[in-house]
Amino acid sequence: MIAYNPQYLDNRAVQAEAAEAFAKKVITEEEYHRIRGAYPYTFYTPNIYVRIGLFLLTVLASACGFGLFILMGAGSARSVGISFIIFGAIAYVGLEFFIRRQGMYRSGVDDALLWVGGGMILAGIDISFNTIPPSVQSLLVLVLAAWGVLRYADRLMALVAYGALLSLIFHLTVGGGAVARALLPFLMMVVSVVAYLLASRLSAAERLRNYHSCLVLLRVATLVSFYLAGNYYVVRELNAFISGGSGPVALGWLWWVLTAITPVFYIGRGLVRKDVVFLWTGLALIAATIFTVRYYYHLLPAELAMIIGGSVLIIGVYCLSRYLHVPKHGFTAASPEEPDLLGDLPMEGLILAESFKAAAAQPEAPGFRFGGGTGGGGGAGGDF
Amino acid sequence: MQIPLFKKLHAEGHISDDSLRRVEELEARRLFSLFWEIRLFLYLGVLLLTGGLGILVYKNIDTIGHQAVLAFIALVTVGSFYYCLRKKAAFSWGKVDATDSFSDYILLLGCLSLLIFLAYLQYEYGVFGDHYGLATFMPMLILFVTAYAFDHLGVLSLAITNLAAWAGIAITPLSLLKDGNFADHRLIFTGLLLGGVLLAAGYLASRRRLKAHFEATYANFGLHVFFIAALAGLFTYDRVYVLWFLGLAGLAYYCYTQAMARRSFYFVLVIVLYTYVALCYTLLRLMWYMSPNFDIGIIALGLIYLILSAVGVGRLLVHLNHKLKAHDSL
Repeated sequence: MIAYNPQYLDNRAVQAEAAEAFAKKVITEEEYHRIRGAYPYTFYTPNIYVRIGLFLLTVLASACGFGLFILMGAGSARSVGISFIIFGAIAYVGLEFFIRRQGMYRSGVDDALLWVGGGMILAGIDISFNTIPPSVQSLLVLVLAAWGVLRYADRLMALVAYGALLSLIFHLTVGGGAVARALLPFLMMVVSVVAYLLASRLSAAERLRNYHSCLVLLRVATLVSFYLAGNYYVVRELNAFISGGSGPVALGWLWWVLTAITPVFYIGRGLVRKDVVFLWTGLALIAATIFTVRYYYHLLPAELAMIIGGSVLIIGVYCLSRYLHVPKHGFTAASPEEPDLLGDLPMEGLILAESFKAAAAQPEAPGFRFGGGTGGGGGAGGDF
Repeated sequence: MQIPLFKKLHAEGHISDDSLRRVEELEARRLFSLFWEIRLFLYLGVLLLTGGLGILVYKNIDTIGHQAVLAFIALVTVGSFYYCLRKKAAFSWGKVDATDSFSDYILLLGCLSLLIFLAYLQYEYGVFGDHYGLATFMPMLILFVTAYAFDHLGVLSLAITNLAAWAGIAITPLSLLKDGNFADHRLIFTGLLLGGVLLAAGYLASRRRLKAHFEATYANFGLHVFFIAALAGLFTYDRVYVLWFLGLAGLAYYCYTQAMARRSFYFVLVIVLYTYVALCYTLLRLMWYMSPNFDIGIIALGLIYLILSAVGVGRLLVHLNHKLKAHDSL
């Protein structure tokens, strides 16, 4: 089923484990080289920068190739649609070629061709048939993305497939009468729970080891979709969207309780089980809960809420770092000693500069209207 | 690490008894690290606190509460710097290992609240007079001194951003993308000059061993500002675009040799991609010049050129990466 050489995928996993052990100095260099010799693979998997570069260049080449393709035979909307589909199929063939003959694996070229192929076929179908109901559209995306997951084990495609599945269920339910619509949030929660249990079960399966990272990402997605299915804002807005009217929804207390409790439960479970998936999903969803509450209730002016929240966070972290000065209960505040993905690039510095530029460039804010550097720019971007 | 796998490797004779025992021991006392969670909280905390203070000051200007707000900001500033000074390791021109995440972010908090404080003083009392330059120059100076004194890359990035603001342009990554506002001729040359200054600063830092690890930050900002300004020049001065291209290519070659010398593939990638954009623009302009009324042949030729050149640049990237890696294993 999987397009990449499965033996090489296994060997690659072995080598990765050995590399980690070697980096942590628990196996010797000689042993490391012996393992590399015994479990060889010839994938071409460059670093992230090459991957990004190759991705961009492949998209450029595909776009220009498609331009040539259209130049050769353009006509009615139908025939343009068919050209899209044919070109999408060509992209898939190219993808297979690069995987088989060039041994590409997550090299940027295969990533790009997978997206180009799926996108082109979808666009071609949309152009060929004028009106496609949203449920059929979701089904199309689901099929294309599921193909991307099963054959190429692409992680983002797993997310797209799950999103398309939820969208399909949503559109089918909305068309199914008033009772079905009233039960929609519960249905979504049930789907999320079932999908979560399935993804957790499958991610432990030895036979599906090549899909492990897809399934981990799916677990995150199911946790998020469970939360969203019970989130007050989402329930209320979707309800308004479906039935046309706005205003408070039935069972308001239940949605508020779910909005508040779900992230706390995730974080608690993440800490108890030491499960990163639960912990980080819960942390992100806390922010969503705060925004939801603030959307309906303005307890404090924004700036005061920010100051209080920021102070609480900083003081809390101070206490936490003091508490974990010596590791306790299997937790530590020290860095995880994983090899740094970003190498020596000062990524954190860039993020800081980006977030705090408003504060840093304060003097030009009030009172000064002198600074050059605003106003509409010319069309000169990074493109041609 | 997966114990069953290492047991299998052991059974196959690839690793010794000792190594297997070490792997098992390491796995048994593996701790769950909250390092990134803590840094995320600190980041959010500082973001919220300084953002809130900034808005609070702005809203309370000319009201009774502003003295209290000002006092609170001063307190945060003094407290932060006091804490960091107490924790600070001795100064050195080499890399000083960060004490801990907490003081890292508290220093940032101190710097940002100091900037808010200065901005407030300037607005309310005009302490720097009417010189716009001085009002941005002072914060920049403070940020640079702090970055060097405390060996803080985040503050250095802020300082560089402020240097650009002082020179009159916004250079954080997003604002560069969003309003790559280089149509103004003065800004093009400011950008070129600023990029050059930053690149030179990076070069000097590594050459003179004055905080050599700051070089990547300087070079990163420098390269992007320089190339975006140069590309803007190429697009704007369309009478002499071939000259601009030649100049850009020359400097790109110089930067390329530097990047290869410091074996940073990220910089090589950035240089190659910017130069490729410039090359495509110049060649397509030349094609257009030769056939001004867009006949189908010239469009097809352009497309074929783009496809072939994209393949070529892809192969070049693979080759360069290979070359750098080959060096690494030597």
